[in-house]
Amino acid sequence: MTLGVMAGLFLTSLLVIKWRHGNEGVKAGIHQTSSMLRRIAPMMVMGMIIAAMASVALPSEVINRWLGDESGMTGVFIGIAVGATVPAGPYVVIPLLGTLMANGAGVGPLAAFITAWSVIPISRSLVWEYPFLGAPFAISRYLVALAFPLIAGLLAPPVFALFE
Amino acid sequence: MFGILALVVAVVLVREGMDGVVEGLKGSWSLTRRALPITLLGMGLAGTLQVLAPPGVIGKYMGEDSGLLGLAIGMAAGLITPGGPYVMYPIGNALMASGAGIGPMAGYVSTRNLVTVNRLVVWELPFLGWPFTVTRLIVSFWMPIATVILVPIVYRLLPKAIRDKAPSKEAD
Repeated sequence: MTLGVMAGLFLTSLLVIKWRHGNEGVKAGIHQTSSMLRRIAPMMVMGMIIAAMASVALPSEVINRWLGDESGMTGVFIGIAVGATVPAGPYVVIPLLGTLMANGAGVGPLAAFITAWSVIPISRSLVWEYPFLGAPFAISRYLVALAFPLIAGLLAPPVFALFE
Repeated sequence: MFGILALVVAVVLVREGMDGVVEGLKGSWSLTRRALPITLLGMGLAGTLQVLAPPGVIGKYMGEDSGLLGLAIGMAAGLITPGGPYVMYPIGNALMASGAGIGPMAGYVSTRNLVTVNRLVVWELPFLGWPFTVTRLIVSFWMPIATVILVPIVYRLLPKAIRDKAPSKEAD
């Protein structure tokens, strides 16, 4: 289903480009995609290996103890700390979270993890946001977002319970 | 990333031996097979979108005085910007250079980081399932709104020495 929608969107956008910008536009689009692909492909492959290896390396008892539903605030804070420091894209983080989830991690720590990784990532902020968007913007945004992961980690379990 | 990879492989080797490594590689292959088609399509779409909506043009509608329209454009751009930081920050830089204000930029970065469609469809739904994904959306939908309201306020409160380090805008 999702694949069909994406394929439809992609073809539509190609047709619109062809109609508005001709073959030059199509070439420019393909060029953007291929240069992105060259940069990402190696990272993707490594990400998948990391996620799958981590599922072998981390036994369920360990995950349960530190990130399980019973871990409470400790689990949420571990989620925030790891999420903010892990220097990786979705191709590592999301499969890794899936692995943690399947092995007993709780909804609160997972929500805190994904939110911290999204809004207060230390390495992405330093390597990308600060040079590209400037120090004042990066600092203000980081300060505003500091509390978000904690709030997400605390709100997620009661919300999740509604769907069970 | 090589460091992390080496570390997890070393841990697996020590704890589970070669069998563990083989098991890990099999797992990697099945993860890759699952994610590959949609990722390729997502990147194709990312390329075409950048041709259809050049950030240098969009940024002109996201100025400091653009009000709610500028915020809406910034947030919408964040929703549909695919790819990783190597896509969004160069786009953000182009938006800023063509005149985007702090509020609309905060909207762009926060929707891109929290609720971007590409990541939801390609990664979160398939790997984490809909109950968790919907939960995460519910607990985070207010964050971009809080961000566009608070970031301009904090920005003005920063010491002038820091504010002066903002990237300069293109003169028209």
